[in-house]
Amino acid sequence: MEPNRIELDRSDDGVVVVKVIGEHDVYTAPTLRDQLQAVVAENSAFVVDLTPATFVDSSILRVLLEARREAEGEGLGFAVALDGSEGPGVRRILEVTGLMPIFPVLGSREEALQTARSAKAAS
Amino acid sequence: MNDAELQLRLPAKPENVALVRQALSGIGDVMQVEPTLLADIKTAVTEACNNVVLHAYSDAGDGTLEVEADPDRERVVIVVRDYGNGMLPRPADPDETSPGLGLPLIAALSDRFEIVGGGDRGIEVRMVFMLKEDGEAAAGVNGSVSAQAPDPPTDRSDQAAGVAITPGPFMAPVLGRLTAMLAARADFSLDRLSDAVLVTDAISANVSACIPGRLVEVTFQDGDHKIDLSVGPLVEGGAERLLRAMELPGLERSIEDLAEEIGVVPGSDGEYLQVRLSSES
Repeated sequence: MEPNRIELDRSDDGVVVVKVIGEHDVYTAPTLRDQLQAVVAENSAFVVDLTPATFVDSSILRVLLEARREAEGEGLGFAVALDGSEGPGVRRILEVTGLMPIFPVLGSREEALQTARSAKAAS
Repeated sequence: MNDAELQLRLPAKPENVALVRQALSGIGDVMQVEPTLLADIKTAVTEACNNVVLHAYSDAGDGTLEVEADPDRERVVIVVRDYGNGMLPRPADPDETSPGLGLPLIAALSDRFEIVGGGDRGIEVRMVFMLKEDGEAAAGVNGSVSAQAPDPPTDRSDQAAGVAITPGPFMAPVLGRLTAMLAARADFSLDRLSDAVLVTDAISANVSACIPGRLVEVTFQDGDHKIDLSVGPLVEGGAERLLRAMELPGLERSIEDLAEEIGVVPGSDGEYLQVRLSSES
């Protein structure tokens, strides 16, 4: 069983990558929220990488929506990465809820980092 | 109890929604459900369960989350039920943990759904997922809400996770997945986790000859470094017979080696085999 966890990584130019690994739902949503709020508090642009996720529910989407709102409020770059190797339900829930273009969701971590960087530069 | 093939009864806590998904994976494995369809089922059922664990009861963990699954060759019917305050899956509320996406997701991902209940007698969300494209028409969203409460609304809010299941192809995969997740939570090592699954596999393989009815109920009480299993109701002498059957070739180690304690207790409807699995060998 894939352990469910959240890991933080940092690109060379200081953009934080929050890796969501395994299954995440209403039980782990508060932990993800705490992690993302800490990233916003340190004033970093950030990417949430859902590629290692095998399942996310609407509680996680809500946390991501909050994080996006806070990032916008602070002028921080934000994007979600999903490269196609994630669990089958992960892309589906983003598509069905219409959130793919909202976050936005990019097709690789590199593209998401680029988007987060440029949003930060533009702010 | 009714006719569903699998009935799960869990304390209505956020950590238990993952157990429901494990049980669905067990069914999906046996029925060879296509992975994207299984993912849809898991997402829709998770959203219905979220409504129970977040909104049905005033204190988290005070009530019961019930899930029934009835699979056949063409479709799976899943019912998620609570006996709480009749809170319907609802639109967005900025102060809630759930974004109000639950009901739209259930509507979009199921082929049919129905919400029954309201008032103070709980809610039942019934979802139908077609397993074959050429089955009953899966066109569009077909949902309904009605006011008839779940029946019977007998809340049994004990703190054990319970599954009532028909002995058959689903039993070992479903029990195995539930056992593995609970053992991992109780800090079992991988070896002990495998031992625990061996025990539930052996129970699943042999229990059908030892029960008086169609269903057998297995409850899991998990604690620090242990899981207490209860299996029943069994016919008179059924626990002994089940233990003997589990000694047959196929298990390299005896049940006595695998379990810390084994007991038989009488119940009003038959006897119950109790097995304590521990993280220590």
